[in-house]
Amino acid sequence: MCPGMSSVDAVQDREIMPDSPESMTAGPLIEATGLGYRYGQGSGSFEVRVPSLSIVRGETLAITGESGSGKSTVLEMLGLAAAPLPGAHFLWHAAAPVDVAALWCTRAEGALARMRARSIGFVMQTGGLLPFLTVRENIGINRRLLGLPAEDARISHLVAVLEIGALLDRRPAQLSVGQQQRVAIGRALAHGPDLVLADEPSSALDPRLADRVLGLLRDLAVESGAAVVIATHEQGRVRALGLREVRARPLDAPDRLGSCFEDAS
Amino acid sequence: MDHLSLNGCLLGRSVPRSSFGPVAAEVWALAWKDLRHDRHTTLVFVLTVAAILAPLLLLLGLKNGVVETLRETLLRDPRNLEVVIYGSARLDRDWLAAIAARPDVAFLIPKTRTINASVDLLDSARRLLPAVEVIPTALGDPLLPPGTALPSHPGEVLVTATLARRLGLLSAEPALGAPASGAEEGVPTRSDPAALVAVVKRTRDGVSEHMRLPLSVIGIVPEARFARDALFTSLDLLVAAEDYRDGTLDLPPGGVVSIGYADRQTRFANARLYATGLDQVGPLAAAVSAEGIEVRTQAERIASVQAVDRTLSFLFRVIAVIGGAGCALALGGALWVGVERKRRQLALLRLFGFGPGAVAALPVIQGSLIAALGLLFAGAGYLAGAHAFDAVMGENLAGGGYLTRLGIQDLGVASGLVMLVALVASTAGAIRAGRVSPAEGLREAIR
Repeated sequence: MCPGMSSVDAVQDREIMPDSPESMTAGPLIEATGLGYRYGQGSGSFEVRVPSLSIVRGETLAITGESGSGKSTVLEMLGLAAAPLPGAHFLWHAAAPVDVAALWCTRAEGALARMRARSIGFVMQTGGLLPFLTVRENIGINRRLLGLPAEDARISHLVAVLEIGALLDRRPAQLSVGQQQRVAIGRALAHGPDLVLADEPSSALDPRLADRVLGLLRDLAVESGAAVVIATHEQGRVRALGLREVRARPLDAPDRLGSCFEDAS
Repeated sequence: MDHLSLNGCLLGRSVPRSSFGPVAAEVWALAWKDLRHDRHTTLVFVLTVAAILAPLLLLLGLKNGVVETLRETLLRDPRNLEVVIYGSARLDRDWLAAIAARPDVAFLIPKTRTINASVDLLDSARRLLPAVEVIPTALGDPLLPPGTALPSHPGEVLVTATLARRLGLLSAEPALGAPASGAEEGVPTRSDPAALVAVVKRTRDGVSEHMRLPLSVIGIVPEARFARDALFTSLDLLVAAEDYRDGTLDLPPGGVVSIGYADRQTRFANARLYATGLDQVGPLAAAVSAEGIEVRTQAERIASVQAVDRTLSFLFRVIAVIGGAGCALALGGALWVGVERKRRQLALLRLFGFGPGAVAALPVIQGSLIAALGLLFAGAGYLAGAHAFDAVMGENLAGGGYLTRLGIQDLGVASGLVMLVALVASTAGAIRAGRVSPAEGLREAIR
């Protein structure tokens, strides 16, 4: 049923300060074919299809489409948070390749959770911070989960570049939306993930702020060697940044509703 | 240094999963910080739990207090613990040893036949006090106040306060209102040891004979302990008197009964038998009477206290079950609603890599913390209520004691039950929290 499943225990522990992007960008991070997800049943169902997608370490790409086209769903699958339909081929290249499809097949929730904790950072459109934790505690949550020290050079660097040093002891409710997004970027990168998934990270911001936040996200990710996938409906902003674009288009089949995500070129 | 960092790196890679420690610590911290953040809501839940628990604790304290006061009133008279052996039996040393070894026996000493359990007394003024009851005593006698000096040989006796008055060892009547004089605590006011003489009579071959045994009074038994004329002495004196009457002992004039004289006796007609507690009297009496020995106890008085205990305990249990169920529903509902309200946050935690178990543990930990805080508040409420009860009604108690009582054991059991209720109450919330999908963290992005 679940062939070629390699242990999640082999997932590579990230070094805390990957200040050598060249070495980190070598090789693929994700290779997926035939990813699919279906909402609902029968004629009223909506399908999200990703026929083929590969992500190289350290690269930044955008997933674009109208709202409701299923961008978030693609992020959920890439983020090991939603199970793709059977038949998918989904490899995650850690120290050894991990067969994610097989992990879902065996419902290895714990193993998937550990992979998320170790290798992925998330930036949500809004509300991605826990309201009962301070900024400092929000940023450190994955580090505490992984047993990493609370402070190190990576954290100081992130705090300095994101200009959130004065906010560290505040709670999210005391921050502006722009500040919240900068903190969210810090949280997503704090534990040195291989991949950062950002769902409409700039949509709640005014245009000038949006450019700055997107720029910070990309620059910090590139600097730490993390690949970034940004889901957004703002195609213009993506093109302005010159990002690789994976675009949604309606499903070919006339009898089914859904979106198909493919590289725009 | 290179070596070290290389080793550290290798070590890091060889530890495959985040160990349980940091996750558990983080989950506890999150549970606590969330409660602290929602401090008003938390306080309402804590007070809800306390409002249910405090009256239950007071009720339990009252029940214990009432029953204990009744029991202490009974226990103040040790005769309520006695299993009186009726008539004459044939109790051999093996039987006595077997009974004495029972865990529910507090005190056992053999006695002579009732007819031989009295002597005539001659006081210092040569007045005769006929047929004074003689009671054998030994260490642990429940009729004697603890710490009473015991007769060390058959020539030493304790006399009851009423007898002491007749002998002139105590002032005739205790002054009204005056506290029991120091003498009543056991030391005669005027001690003239050699002046008291026991006279044992017998008729042999139609000739009336008597034996005189000089006695020294070493203490007085308070009236509260024994209200009739009596001598408390060693078994040796009683057995010697019986043997003299039976004609098997002849003592030369001026002779004394030797210490351990009773040891040669292998069979006794009677015994003084006391149970360790009120609840043990019934079973002990049943065990003795099962061997064909007729017994009497204060069963009715004991049974009435036990009935009060049972009734009040039953009432308390019914109220506690209803209160506990209400507490569980209130707490469970609050936790359930909390999980629903914080679904997005729980989904974020799942997304960040917390396992389903870790997220399910959050409402359980929060429920336990709320219950523990509620218990603390309820404890404070109990103390206030108990103080008020004792201040208003405590004076009316026979013992002048406390109306409400809670032992460490009661509190331990209560705390355990409350935590159990909290665990049960948080189950629904935990199941719901454990089912939150990490995908909801992204899906409900706009809120």
